[in-house]
Amino acid sequence: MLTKIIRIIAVLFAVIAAATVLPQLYYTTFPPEGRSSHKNICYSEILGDFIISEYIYSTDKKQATGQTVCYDRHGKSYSRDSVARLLLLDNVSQLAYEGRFPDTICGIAVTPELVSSEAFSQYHSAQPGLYYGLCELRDQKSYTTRTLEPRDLFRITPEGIQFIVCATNQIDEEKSRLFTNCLTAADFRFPALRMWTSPDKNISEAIGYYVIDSKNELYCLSMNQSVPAVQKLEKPDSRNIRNITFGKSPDIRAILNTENGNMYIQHPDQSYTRLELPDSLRKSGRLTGNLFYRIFTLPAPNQQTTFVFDRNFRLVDSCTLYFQPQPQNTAGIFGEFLFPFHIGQTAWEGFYADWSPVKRFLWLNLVLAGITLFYKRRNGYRLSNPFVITDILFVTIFGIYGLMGISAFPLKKSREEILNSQSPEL
Amino acid sequence: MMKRYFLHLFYKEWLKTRWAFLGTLLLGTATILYIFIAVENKITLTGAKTILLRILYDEPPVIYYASFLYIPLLTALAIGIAQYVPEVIQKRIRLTLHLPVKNNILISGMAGFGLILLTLSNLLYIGLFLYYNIRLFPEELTKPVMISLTPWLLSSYIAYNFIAMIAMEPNKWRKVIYSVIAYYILQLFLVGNEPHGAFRESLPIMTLMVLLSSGLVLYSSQRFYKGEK
Amino acid sequence: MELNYVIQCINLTHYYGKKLVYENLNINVAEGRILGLLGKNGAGKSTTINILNGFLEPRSGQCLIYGENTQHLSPATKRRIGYLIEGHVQYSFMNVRQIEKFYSGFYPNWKRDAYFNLINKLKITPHQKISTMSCGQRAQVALGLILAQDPDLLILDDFSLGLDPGYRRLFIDYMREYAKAEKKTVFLTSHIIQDMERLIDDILIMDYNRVLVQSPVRDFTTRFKEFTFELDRDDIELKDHPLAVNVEHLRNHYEFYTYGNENEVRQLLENLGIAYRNFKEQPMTLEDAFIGLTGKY
Repeated sequence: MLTKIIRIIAVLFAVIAAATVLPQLYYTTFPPEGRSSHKNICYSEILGDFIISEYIYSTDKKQATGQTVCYDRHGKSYSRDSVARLLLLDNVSQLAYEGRFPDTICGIAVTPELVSSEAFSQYHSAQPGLYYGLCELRDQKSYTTRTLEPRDLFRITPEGIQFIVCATNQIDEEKSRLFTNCLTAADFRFPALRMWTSPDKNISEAIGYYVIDSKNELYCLSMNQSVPAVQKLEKPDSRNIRNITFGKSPDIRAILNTENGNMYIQHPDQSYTRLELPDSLRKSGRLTGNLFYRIFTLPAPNQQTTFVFDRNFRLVDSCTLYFQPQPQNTAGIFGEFLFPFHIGQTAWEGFYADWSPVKRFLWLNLVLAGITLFYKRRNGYRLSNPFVITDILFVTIFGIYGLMGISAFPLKKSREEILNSQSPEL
Repeated sequence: MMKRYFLHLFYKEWLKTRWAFLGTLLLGTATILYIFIAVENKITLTGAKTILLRILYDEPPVIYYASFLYIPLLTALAIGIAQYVPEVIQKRIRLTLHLPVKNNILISGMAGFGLILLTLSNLLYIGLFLYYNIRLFPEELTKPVMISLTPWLLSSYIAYNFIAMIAMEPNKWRKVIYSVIAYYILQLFLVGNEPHGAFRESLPIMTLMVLLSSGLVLYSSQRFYKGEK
Repeated sequence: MELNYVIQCINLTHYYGKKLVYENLNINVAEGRILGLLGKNGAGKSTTINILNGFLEPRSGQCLIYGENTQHLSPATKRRIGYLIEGHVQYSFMNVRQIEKFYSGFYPNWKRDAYFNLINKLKITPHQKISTMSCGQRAQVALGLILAQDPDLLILDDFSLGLDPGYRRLFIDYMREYAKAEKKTVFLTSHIIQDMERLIDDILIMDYNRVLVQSPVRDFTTRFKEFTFELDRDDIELKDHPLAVNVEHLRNHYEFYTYGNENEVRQLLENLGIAYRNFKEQPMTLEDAFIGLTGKY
């Protein structure tokens, strides 16, 4: 009995191995998806509307080429040439090179240099970056002299803030005490739940860190000529803050997500403006800006919504672009019949099983289970043997993986089954 | 109280495995020392803070301990091969199975000894690694690094259990099939090139797989002494 | 007198795939007897040894040792069985001291002196590994281990394989003296039948798919005879006659193997109207009898 149970475990190992490798091999050899068009959306300051450009692949699968078509939300088509004149802020370099860049846009005197200087783009990530609780606090004046470049990293523990001198891996007690006292004086409750700073070194030096304490209050921690600077900040609303990125534009100090999905822009004067966006918690997006607008793009499965705000972050317009799911070719469809699921592993979410649509793989599984049943009966196995039933169940659930597993570890017949089988020939 | 004959059984297993065990222990120790000598050299050249920040936050991540990836696996291979190849040649395992002890206990004893050796070597590697890592780096790095090392250490148990199963299997074609299965299962454990602390969520399932694999040797040893093909 | 059977094989049947090895084989080995199992290559000797040791599960039937099924021998019964593997296979990575130390832990009545008395006769260094020993030296080590274990039943698979005459004689003399003095039961196989003749009490001869003889050696060698004669023709077939167990001939020189007596054979030839000359009964060794019984191939 013990051996039979161990056999089941061995079959499961075979199923796991097959589910890991076979889909990989198959889809590498036969890529599952065909080609679908690419879409892009821009906001025309001239039209006051969106212009969509779509790259459509040739229907001839042997051709890798296609063509780009441009149209607005009402379906009116535009040539590439005319689009460049409607999207002046997005085509500065090209127009300037061609000598077609205008002197004014929407009544405002412009130069290519002015327009370029106002342009920025940044990514607002919903996934926190790598965070080990150990960070570098740069001095605001470290650019002036090397003596102000810190040689330590800090962490905020239940006991207080600790600066660890990297060369010795020991705590700088004096500096730690100084900063701890400063934080305590500002009513900071240890430990810190989370800290953020800008990946841009200059911004990081200037602003320091935004820190959430154990009471979910927001603080700004920085250092000026080795002196700690701690400031308690107002939160944008009564909710806890879940995510912060720092702005690349002078009018954006930070972008904050609160736990109810609201997104706020923190201005340099530390006031807030709530963006009229849908629930954006755990959603990454791109914020671009130009002379007139701030444009926020939020992706979603098979769609993308672009929100256009003015310089005061009032919503001007929005547009949702729908993408056709990439069509499946025959290989992809066949793969869904063949493989009930495939097992993978990601770094931060662990193992997962990605199941194909049940209505597809179940048919093949049932056929394979029928074949297994036929084989067992023909070779003298009895259905009263619970391990025979287990084998058939394996094939029904795991399909081709189950079949491979029970074939790699065949079930041994009982003595009665052997004796009752067809008599072997002499 | 451990039965006396286990000591004699372990004695035989030790005679087979001692040089392989000590050899891989030496290799593993040398690898760990090399890792930290290299890190200390880099710290001397570039500065401790720079190195620490790179290790923590660079993308792609700086896996300064990458050369340790295959050490637990090699240890398992060495112990497994040293233990089971002498038993397989001329089916000498019959000498052990003929002893006046239940067969499953004998096989479990043999496998248990191998697992004990493996655990001792893994504990030594962990101890040595921790000793040097704690000296150089704060715990914010040490803990995630140990999490990153854990799948590699667990891979040694999977490898050993499969080696035992493959060695005891009487049918050569089935040995090939088991080897293929073992190879792809091990791929799930030999993961790297991700930031420190990655694959934490995989550890419970990996541990379960290790525990479940510990009985595999009994399956093929049963096939062996029933004379199945 | 009721015999205690140490080994009982009851209706033993085994196939390798679809190839029959034997069917309904019955073997009994009484306590204190030395049984030799003889057979041609492929007759099923190793199969029987493997089943006896529990290394092979028969297709049907069962083998009992001290009343226990060999597929599920208890440790207490295993302790009473000494096993010599074909070729005197031992753990080659050990030396003579290490191997004694290993085995001694499993047998409470381990006789250390019995082992070292034999081992000290070997011209080896104390730390010499078994892998570097000759076949004869390994046989001596194996014999020493068996004597130290002091089992009640010895199963010796081809004990003479690879041994020179000196070692074979040493092995046989030790084994016989030990078995008889201690009333041990021995079940052995060998290809060197002269050695077996010196050692065994009972004989079991197997041929493909069946047992040909199972009896005390003396009974067999007394009853089974060879008669030689010459005929005028060389194309006469006598094999099919019930009296003939086997008939070999080279040209017109015939060898007639039978359980019958001289008169019966002469009567057979006369009844068939076959003229013969130089009719003689040939004295046979056990080897001659075995070949006569099973044929030369």
